[in-house]
Amino acid sequence: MVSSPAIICDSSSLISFAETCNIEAFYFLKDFLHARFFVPPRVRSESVTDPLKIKKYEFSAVRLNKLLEDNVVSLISVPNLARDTVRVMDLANNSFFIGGKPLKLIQSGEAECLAVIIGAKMDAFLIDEKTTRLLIENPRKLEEQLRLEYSRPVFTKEENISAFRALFSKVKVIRSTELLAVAAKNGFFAPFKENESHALHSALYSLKTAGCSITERELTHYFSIRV
Amino acid sequence: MPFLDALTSLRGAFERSNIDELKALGGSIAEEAFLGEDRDLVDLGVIGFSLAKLLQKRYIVGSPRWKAFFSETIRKLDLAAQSVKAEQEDAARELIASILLEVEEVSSSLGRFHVSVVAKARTKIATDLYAHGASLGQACELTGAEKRFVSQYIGLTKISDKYETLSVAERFHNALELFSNNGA
Repeated sequence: MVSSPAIICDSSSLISFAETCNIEAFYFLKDFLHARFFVPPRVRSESVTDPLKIKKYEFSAVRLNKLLEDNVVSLISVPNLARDTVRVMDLANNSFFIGGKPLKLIQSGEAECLAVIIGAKMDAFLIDEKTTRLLIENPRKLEEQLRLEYSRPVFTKEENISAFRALFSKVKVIRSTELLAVAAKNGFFAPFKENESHALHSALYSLKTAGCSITERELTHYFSIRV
Repeated sequence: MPFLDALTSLRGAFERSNIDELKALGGSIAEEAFLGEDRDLVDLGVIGFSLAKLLQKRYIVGSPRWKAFFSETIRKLDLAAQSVKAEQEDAARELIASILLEVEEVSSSLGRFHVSVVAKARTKIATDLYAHGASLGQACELTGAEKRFVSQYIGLTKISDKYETLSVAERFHNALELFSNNGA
C-alpha cells in the first residue's frame, strides 16, 4: 500500500516556497508521492487572503491561491478547532515567564495548525519558523536561548510544557528544506539534468535566505546530498 | 520600561538628534513590548527606529521641510507625554499614530526609500522579537509587520543558527519515511 501522508502546513513554509519559486514542489509531491497538504482557515488568511490586498505580495499570494484552487493544498477544519486553538495557545503562551509575565510565544495561525493535529490524523507538520518547532522538539533549547537573550531569570511552568509536548509527541516536524530534499530525491530537479544536484543545493540555500529556520551547518550537510 | 519613560527618553534623543540613542531605545523598547505584549510600546519603538533612519539622511535633514517636521514631532511627543500623565491614553495613542503618519509622509515625499521607514522599522522590531523568542506569527502580529518581509529579513541574519535540534540525517530520514511505500 502506497503511503499518502497528510501534512498540515504553516504559513511560514508556504511563504518560503512561494518566495523562492519552489511552489511546483507541492504539485510534484502530490502527483508522484501522493502527499496530501492541508491548511487551516487562519493560515489561508495569512498566506493568501490578506496578502492579495498588498501589491508587493499579491503575485506570491496569487500563486499560493492557485494551490488551493487546484486542490493541491486543501482547506481543513476540525470539530472544536476554536476551542483547541485556544487550549494550545494557553499552554504554549504560559510556559515561560520573565518578571512574573508570561511570554506570549505563538499566535493563532501556528496554534490553529496544532489544533488540527489534535482533531485530525496528520502525519507531519510543515513549518519553517523556529519557536513552534522548538516547543514540540526541544523546549529546553528555547528556554536556554531565552535566558541568553533576556539576561534575566526565566521561570518555566513544567506542567504546561509537558502537557503541550504530550499533545504533539507523535507528529513529525518538517521544514521546507526537508520537503524539497525529498522531492529532489524523487526526481523533482531531474529536468536540470547534469545540474540536478546544483539546483537542489541552490534551492535549499534560497529557502534559508527566505527565512527557513535552518542553520549554516545543517545546510552544509544537505549540500552533501547528491541526486 | 514604562510607556512614559520610553516616550520621554525618545523625545530627548530626538531633540539631541542622537541616532545611536534612538536605535538603542528602539531595541530596548522592543524587548519590553514583547514582555508586556504592548502594542503602544511597539509604536514608540517604530518611531525611534524611523526617526533614527531619517536623521541618517543628510538630504532629508537638510531639506526645507525638516525644521517644521522636527518641531511638530517634538510638540506632539510633549503633548503625548502630557496626555499619559493626565491618564488620557486614547489621546496619547492618537498623537503617536499621527506622528507615525507624518513620518510615513516625510519618508515617501523626501526619501529615496523603496520601502517606507515605518514598514522597515516594524520589520526590524519584529525580527528583534523573533530573536527574543516570539514565533514568526507572534512577532508579526504584535508589530503589524508583514510576514514575507520579516521572513526575508530573518533569512539575512544568523538568528536561525542558534536553533539546531535534530541532525540533518535524522530529519531527512523522518521526511523520507513519510513517503515510503508500505509494501506494493
